[in-house]
Amino acid sequence: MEQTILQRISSGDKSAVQDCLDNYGGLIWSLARRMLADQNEAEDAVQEIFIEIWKNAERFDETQSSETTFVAMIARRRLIDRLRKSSRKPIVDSFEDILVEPSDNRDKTIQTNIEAKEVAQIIRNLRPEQQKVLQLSIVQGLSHQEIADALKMPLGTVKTHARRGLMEVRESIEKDKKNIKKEVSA
Amino acid sequence: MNNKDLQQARLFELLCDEVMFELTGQDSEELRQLREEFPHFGNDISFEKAAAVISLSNLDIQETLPHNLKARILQSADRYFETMVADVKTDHQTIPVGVTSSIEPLEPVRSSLMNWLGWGVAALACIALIANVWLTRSTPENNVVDVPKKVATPTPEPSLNEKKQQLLASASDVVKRDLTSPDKNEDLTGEFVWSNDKQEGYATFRGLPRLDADSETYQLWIFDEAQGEKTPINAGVFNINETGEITVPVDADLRVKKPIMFAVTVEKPGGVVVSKREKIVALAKLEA
Repeated sequence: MEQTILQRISSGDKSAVQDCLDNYGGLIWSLARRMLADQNEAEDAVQEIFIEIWKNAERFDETQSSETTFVAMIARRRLIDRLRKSSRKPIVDSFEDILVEPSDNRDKTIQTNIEAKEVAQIIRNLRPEQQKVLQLSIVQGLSHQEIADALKMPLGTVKTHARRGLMEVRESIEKDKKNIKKEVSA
Repeated sequence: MNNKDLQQARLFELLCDEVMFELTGQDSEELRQLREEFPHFGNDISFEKAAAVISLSNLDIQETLPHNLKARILQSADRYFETMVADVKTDHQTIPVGVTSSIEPLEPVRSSLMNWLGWGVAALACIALIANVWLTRSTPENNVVDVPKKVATPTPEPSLNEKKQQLLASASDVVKRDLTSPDKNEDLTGEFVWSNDKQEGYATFRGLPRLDADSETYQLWIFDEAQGEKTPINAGVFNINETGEITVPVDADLRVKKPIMFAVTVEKPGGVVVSKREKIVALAKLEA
């Protein structure tokens, strides 16, 4: 069975680094540019993220997530940490743009993997408030206070929408994973 | 709902908060205790994974990694593979993804001996440089021989057609296929040349119609078995000014693993990320 890029990296195959850059460079760069306003900071973050990915490559478990999702987990976490440490505001050009159509960005969006495709559908089925809060929190990296201010919503309500939204998405992903396992074992 | 259920509900709330917001010290402590109570969720990554997939679900990947950054990362990779691999295998500072809310800084860990060796080598290099400068600058002028400088003769950059011929001559795995026109455009002929080892290719067209550059462009695609039929790899865009023979480079965005087909579509200026495949002007099947 062919090894994944991360499996090759964890086994010390240096040539897999180029594949890793080719496959995930655009994705990580896009995530970084979306969250960090400063180009230099985004470049530093991306470099750190790749080192982080190589360091954690051996932790990748293809039964738990796709390689793309694993890479995105590391990237998102690193970017959020940077935002919090720097105490800088994330990029939000216009709240109106985000809030009017929080997840209806299908035409110009690369549906990165099957999970992301399905999640886009799940998000569209969430309540509009949940969609907005998830968008501002996860996609834009805003704190709950910043979201409360932006949406003029009590802090507790922001947390409730965020939690319920994330739990629904998580449950849907886990349900799909179980169904796939059932289909495979049947 | 019994007490255990309530505790688990609270655990889930805190796991959500950990993924999306910064936990207070009190919340972190409560989460630590609940994790001990529910060891099954100790290393749970499902919340982190859900957040990651949400962040991907509407990601607009328009930008590619800047070349200078790519070069920097490749340099980091060299250093990493030279000095870190052995350490990483035994080092337990790796991040438990989805468990911790902060990531430790990733400064390269080197042994102190290696550090001192590095500084020693640098110091010796400095001494050698100073000695060299001092010796050459202090050379008496009458000993200096004025050597005529060699001027490099600039070699002209080979044309795309010449590069194509070089590729055909040098790559052992090179494939060459005639282009076909799905529209039965009999004026259109040409060929597609590709070397997977070199990840280099060229497409030559004859009789390709001119497009209005303000509204349309040609875009090249490589269908890779590893990528699936739905997501061919973008291989560049081009326009033509005249309808004679034209050769264009095939510059794949991603590493091509097993190419099975090459296609040319007509798209809006600048190209598209995902083609609707409404206008396919040329194809070349590569599979046997």
